[in-house]
Amino acid sequence: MSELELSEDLLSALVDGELDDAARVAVESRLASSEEWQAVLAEVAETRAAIRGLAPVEAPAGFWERVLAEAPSDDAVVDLAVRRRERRRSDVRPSPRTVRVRDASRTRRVAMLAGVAAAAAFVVGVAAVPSTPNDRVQPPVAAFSDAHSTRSSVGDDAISTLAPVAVSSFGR
Amino acid sequence: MVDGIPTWEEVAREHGQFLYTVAFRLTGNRDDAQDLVQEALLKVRRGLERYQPGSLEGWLARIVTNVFLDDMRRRKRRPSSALPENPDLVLPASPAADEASRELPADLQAALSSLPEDFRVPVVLCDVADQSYEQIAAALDVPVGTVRSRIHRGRRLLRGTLAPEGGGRDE
Repeated sequence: MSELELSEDLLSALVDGELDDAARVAVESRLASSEEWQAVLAEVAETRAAIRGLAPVEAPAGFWERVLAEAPSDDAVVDLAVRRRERRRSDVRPSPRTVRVRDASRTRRVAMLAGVAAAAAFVVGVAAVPSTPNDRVQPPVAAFSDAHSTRSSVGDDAISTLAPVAVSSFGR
Repeated sequence: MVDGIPTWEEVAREHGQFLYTVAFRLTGNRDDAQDLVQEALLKVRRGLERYQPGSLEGWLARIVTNVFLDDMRRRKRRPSSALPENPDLVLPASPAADEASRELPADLQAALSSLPEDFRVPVVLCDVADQSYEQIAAALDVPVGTVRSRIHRGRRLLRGTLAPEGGGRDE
């Protein structure tokens, strides 16, 4: 049987009492022959003890009285969220990310309102335009063409035969 | 207490300090810890009817942890942290302990607060809430082996933060 390869997470599990009997015996046996790993075990145990040695934390004065006086209710969720936002606004300058989010939100709101207004204008406009029985519009092309021919050159002289053009008296 | 099931007021009176301590170690500051405790107590009140008498503090630790993790996800204070293969490569986030504990050692609390959430939560559940690896695995919905690895990495990061010149051992 090959020798167990030790690792720090095995040592963590050992000091936490999380190894089964077989694994614990194997780790302890391997440790017994390695001063280097014994030193690592000591470090792991020391770190664990330091965290576990942190004192319990007392809540600020009056906290529990407030909690017990205001029985938690579904409304409390909303209140807490509002309170947190208010506290953050007053205590902390908004981060760039927060500003961006707010700006984006405002932009979205404005865009949405503009879209609604445009849609409303479109609906009103469509309603105001009288409907026509035919979707197809046919311009009087032949009549335009005849009129144009009458007013345009009729001879070979491109200048003298031009149709008369009204000259504006503006500025005279 | 009815049939071994406490009222939420009893939970608040008798286990309030435990709840607050776990909340403070998870969040690193008093304001967030207070919010966390209040939201956890709301869940406690809703869930007491379904509570099966047993490890009450284990149940409370699980609730406060879930509230904390939900809140973290909702607020997305930090980008989701993919677990690095080498814990030495983890760059500690700026300490959230804006009002670092007066219950010294403050440097240890600050180091704890600076741990990435993936390491901090299992370490707090193990060393502050005194939960077994199995309970932590259930609370976080990850395998027991992952819990063992994260606790080890979290402690190693803490050791590196507190005694950088000490040097850890490479595996």
